Amino acid sequence: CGYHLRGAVDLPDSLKKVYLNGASMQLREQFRKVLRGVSGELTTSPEAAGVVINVANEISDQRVLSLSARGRSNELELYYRLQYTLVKADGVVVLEGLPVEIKREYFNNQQDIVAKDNEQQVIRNEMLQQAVRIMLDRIRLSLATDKK
Amino acid sequence: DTSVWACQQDKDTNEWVCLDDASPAAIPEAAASTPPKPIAPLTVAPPAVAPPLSLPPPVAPAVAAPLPAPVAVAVPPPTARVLKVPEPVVRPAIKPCASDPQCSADSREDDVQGWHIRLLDPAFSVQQEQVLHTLAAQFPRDPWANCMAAVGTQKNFTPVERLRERFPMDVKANYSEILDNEIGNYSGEVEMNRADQHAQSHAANYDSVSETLDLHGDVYYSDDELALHSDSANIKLATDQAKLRDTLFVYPATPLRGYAEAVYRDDKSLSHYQNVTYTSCRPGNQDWAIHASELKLNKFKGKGSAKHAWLEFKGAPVFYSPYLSFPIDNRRLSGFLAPVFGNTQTGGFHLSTPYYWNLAPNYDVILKPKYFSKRGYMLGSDFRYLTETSRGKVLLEYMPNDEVLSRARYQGSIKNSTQFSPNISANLDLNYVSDKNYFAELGNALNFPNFSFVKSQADINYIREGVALTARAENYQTIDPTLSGSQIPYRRLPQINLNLAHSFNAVVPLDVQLENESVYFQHDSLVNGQRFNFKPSVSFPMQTASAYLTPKVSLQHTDYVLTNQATAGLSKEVSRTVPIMSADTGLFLEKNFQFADKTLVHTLEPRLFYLYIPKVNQNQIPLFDTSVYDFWYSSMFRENRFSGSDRIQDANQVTTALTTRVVDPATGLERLKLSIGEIFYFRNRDVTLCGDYPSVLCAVSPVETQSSSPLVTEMSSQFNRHVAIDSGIQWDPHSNKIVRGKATIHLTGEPGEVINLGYLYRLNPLIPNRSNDITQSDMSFHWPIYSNWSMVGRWQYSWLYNSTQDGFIGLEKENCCWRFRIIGRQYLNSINVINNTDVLSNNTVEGTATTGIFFQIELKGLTGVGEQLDDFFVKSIYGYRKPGK
Amino acid sequence: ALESDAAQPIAIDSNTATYDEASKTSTYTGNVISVQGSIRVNSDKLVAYQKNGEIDKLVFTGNPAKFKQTPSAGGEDILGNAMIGEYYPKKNLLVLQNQAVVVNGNATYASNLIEYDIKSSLVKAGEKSSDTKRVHVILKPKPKDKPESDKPETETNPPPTDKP
Repeated sequence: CGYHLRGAVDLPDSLKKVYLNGASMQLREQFRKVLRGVSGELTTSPEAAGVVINVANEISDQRVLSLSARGRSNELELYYRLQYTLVKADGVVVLEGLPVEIKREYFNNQQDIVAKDNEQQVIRNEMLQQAVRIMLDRIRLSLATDKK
Repeated sequence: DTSVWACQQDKDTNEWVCLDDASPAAIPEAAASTPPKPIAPLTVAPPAVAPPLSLPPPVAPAVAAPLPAPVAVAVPPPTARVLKVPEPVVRPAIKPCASDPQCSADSREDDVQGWHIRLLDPAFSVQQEQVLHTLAAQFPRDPWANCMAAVGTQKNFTPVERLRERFPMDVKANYSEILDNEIGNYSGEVEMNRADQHAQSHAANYDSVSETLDLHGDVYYSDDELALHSDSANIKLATDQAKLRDTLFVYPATPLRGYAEAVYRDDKSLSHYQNVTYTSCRPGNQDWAIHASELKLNKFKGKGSAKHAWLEFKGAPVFYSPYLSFPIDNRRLSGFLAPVFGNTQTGGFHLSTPYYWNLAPNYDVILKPKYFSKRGYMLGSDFRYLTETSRGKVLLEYMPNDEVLSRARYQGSIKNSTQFSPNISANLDLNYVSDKNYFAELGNALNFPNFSFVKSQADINYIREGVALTARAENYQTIDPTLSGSQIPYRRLPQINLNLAHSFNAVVPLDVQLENESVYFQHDSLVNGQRFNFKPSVSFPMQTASAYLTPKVSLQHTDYVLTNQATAGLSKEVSRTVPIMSADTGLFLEKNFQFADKTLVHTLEPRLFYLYIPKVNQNQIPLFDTSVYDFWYSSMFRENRFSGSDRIQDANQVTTALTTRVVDPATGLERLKLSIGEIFYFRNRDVTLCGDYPSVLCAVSPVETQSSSPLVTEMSSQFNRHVAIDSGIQWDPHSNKIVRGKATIHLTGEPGEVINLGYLYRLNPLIPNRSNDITQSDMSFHWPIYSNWSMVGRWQYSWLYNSTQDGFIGLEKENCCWRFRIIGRQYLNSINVINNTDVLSNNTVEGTATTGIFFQIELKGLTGVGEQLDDFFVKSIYGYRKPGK
Repeated sequence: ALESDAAQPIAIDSNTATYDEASKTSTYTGNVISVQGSIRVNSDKLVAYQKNGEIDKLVFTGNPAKFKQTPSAGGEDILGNAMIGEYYPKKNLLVLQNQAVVVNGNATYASNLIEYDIKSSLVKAGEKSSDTKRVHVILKPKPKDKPESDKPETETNPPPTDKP
């Protein structure tokens, strides 16, 4: 029915070396993990990198979605917003600032706050991994269209 | 919010340069992990009239080509070229506003709002408004164009270095008499241009030796930093001194406009005005104006001061002050911020007048004196600092005597993050409040707490490729009066994690990880425990562009040393060793297809996640930091259904899931994303939260016997930049019921136009009388209704309790010169507890609704820009962004 | 202006020349070059009016006619051109009309009517009562770097850099 395995537009070597500029510690850590999965790596200087990602703005916060009878929050929405521009080594700006926005809801009626904090940390990491995958996907898609 | 704050110290001038968060300019390498918000709001200030010395090159291309060298007229037939005066591109002559329909209409822009009665006659007459409008039109960019953008981010109007000396003076007039090329008298529609300076008057005389310029009769003067109109002007160009009578001025940088009976310019940066009236409102709009007998401006220090200044707002005298001082550029200078006042049932009428005090380029403090009609005085201070390696914030609030409780109350919070080196960093986040009802009674209507705990933690980290060592201490202060005893959370004093990871690229990619943890849980009444966790794991992340398979094997060994056990006879030392095996595999299938002349990519991404963990008896282990994860799509791919590590589930299950996406490759927008997943269990899940140590959570996690989990579907789509949908449903095949549901739709129009509609549903049969269930609708919006008035609000209604859980409605007006907000909020305040028998079902503890009103008024150009409400809107309304960000 | 100019004889060279005794006027046409001391005029046509034996007024026309004079010994020349020019030697007064341009040192004047009193070096341009003869004046900035003198440069030192 026309579906084929995704083309071998894997990250070209030049894009396997990424310099992340201005990212928070957590984003940097997740970026390193996801890149390792694609046998890429974070370089320590822009010169050594095939592509430079300038993180302009990173907002990681939460908001209350619903309240219990006592007026205490029992459903939280964690949101993460990342604004970045991606510049290839030759200075060509590949992707103009379409921000990555991810939000996850999770039940937390503050009964077992320590356990729920652990859960929040796990969700935050999953959100960051998803953000990194979205960024890499966009790079891959924009490269694929470039190639055509 | 914790947006990255990009400030760095310039090496040679060691001047602190803070880039606006949004500009993706080069940002220092080591961004701290929890940067606080940018330093104080920028205060803006009234005009510097001084015609500055040097100006940026005018819009015109290079000056008129220098004249051909005079050619001696030779006796033989001359070939000399004809002398012509090349026509340099100069600004068109100023047309009087009355003759230009558009301009005269604009200058009566806000008359349509003539509904308000004016006690005083308007600050500026219609003619003056027309002249001011003409002056404003002199600038390449309308100073009032996007005046709503955050202050300080507009293009500034500062001159480039000394350029005027090198430009010729170009004069046009009906008649001129020039003596010895030096003294020139011009009359009749005189237009003078030099670089960016442009002057126009009935008559003018210019002495090029003494460089003095006298202009008479309907004098217009403008350059890139300032525009003036007056009856007469005497300017000494060489020494930058000037005297102007009866002057209307526009200072675009702020932007500000006004009138002064006399303007004196003493030298390059000092100027003073007599009987001045000014405002930051657009020409034609006189919502507020400042009248001062004398105004002094020091451009060098960026400071302005006014004597006998009184404020006129909407035609009524509002405020007088013998002396006012304020910054006149966007340097962070001390000054009053917007006053904030409001009313709450618990605190009564409250007023606070924050004062921003800029101590040094890298530290400042906001002092917040506050008065509560029912409770008395309080002083707050918000100190921020930035050093080479660290940045932080110290917040203190102290009320000497609460008239209701007749005792002192206070709140303190210290936030600091330090980056010792690219690898070593430390964070501190300590918060303490004097009593449980502090926020409920002394907080204003905005930040009423719907949280039960105040967390404090301190950590130090050493992180580099492959190694992550963190030592952390953590404590929760309970501020929910209804919680006590076992509901008070454990303290982690300390928790040390060492995670090592390394990947080998042998014949098969191999990732080895070693997670170690040593943590001491301390509690006053419950069992205390020292826990050692040791978890080596090996995984083989095989991956191609279109498929991946990641088998992973780990062995978790945990030792406990327990003390302070309530019941005797329980073993003091417990250990547990559990192997965990999982395999995660998936495919990427995709197909391009045409849809409305766009090529879209449609993907099919099947995924399988197999998990096998043998059953290990963990009843003797108390619950320190463990509970059940909330079940949603992403939780189906975790190796444990419990958070923390006091319980490791027994499992023999496979999660089958399919994600399909339609992506627009050009923009990266996910037009549609649909995920469906379900877990199939091959054995019961016997490990529960129950055990030898009684816990309320035991009731929440019985032995699970169903053969499959609820079918989880999540659908989100971004139709275009204006409409987005986010939804999800969990259907339990065994009870044939929907156990969980969420649906939200987000509509965004122009900036400032946001509407969100949402519905949440949760059914938890395990808990009696549905106290943990949710059936709630959530509507929030921010929408302009009429000439920069907007309506803003949020309404969270619980269909289960048939009551409004939280809601606010408000009006907001923002234009170039002032910003006004009024918010009324109703929220549940569970101070008065009815009875608290069954801890888990919290609906016996009824919250009673209380209301609060919050005002905020800011006059741009007079006081700083308060940000309190912006943060509240960003937190409450999805998709709302601060103006100008 | 050079005092000596007014006393100098006027020499005129042209393709044709005619003299009308009755009106005491002589008319020269075709590439007319007239010289009086440091004053020199190039024009297509020149009419000289004499009064009791002396030239009272010269009217020259050209497309455009050109005028040159050295105002002071060693000083920079003054140049001008216009469609019609009148020169009154006795009064040392030059009147240029209709696309008249005068360049004098760092100043350039353009109008449809320029009266240049060479003796008092006073330039009057345009018309007070109407805006039909707009004046356009360009004053080049004096180079700031030479504080000691503001007299125009002599040939000796290098011309200012902004010469083409």
